[in-house]
Amino acid sequence: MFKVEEKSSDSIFIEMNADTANIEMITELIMDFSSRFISEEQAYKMGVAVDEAVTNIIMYAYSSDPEKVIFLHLFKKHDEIAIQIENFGPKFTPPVIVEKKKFSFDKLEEGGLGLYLMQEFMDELRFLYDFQVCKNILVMKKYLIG
Amino acid sequence: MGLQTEKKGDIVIIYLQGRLDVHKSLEVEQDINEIIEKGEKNIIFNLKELSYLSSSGLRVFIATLRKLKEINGLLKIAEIQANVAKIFKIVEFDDIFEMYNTTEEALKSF
Repeated sequence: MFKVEEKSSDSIFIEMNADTANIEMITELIMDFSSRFISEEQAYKMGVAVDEAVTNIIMYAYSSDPEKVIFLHLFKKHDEIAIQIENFGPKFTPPVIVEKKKFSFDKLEEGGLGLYLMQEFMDELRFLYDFQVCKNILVMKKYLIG
Repeated sequence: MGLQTEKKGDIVIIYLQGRLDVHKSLEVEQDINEIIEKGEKNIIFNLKELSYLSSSGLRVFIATLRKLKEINGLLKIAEIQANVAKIFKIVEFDDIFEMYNTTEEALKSF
């Protein structure tokens, strides 16, 4: 399942199964939407960042169970493009900052490389948890100025 | 999936195409492993047609390099595209891999 609802030219809701087969569609959608507002290079980076976030959810939060569902809201507001990604996996506590020195030839931490790319490619990352409904919420932003 | 390959003496050129994300990387890695298990130890990845790379794809490159080092083999990269090169650069893997502008240059480097 991969459902897209375009509320307006600057707001898209996506509901998708946690299936790696959906990664290409979500990446292309993010790049297509973002390139309306930012350069193709920046849109590419945003696509990779969302790929990494969704991949981590599929692999780690949902243990590759394709029946699980991920919700995304992509929108442009004022001077930023934001994407909110929600999942109902175990509460995720991210490292404060992912350090580059971890990525050596001999040792690659699971998920760490993806988190690092997200951090490098986006201007803002916020990991939240809604205790009322047991939901992880990741908000990533790219600023349109500066 | 099956990889497009070309043999030049004792060197195998592997042409990676399209996307290398989490969905594709496992299959590609298995195909590469089969090539190494058949006895090939000198490999060039031609990335002219590789348009997209995520961290899952990066792991394929690292895993291949590790395997080849274990058997005293060599891995070179040729014709990497700008967007993909940025991914290598941002994690500083461009220091780990030998990169060449053309496949000919990569072939001569062995």
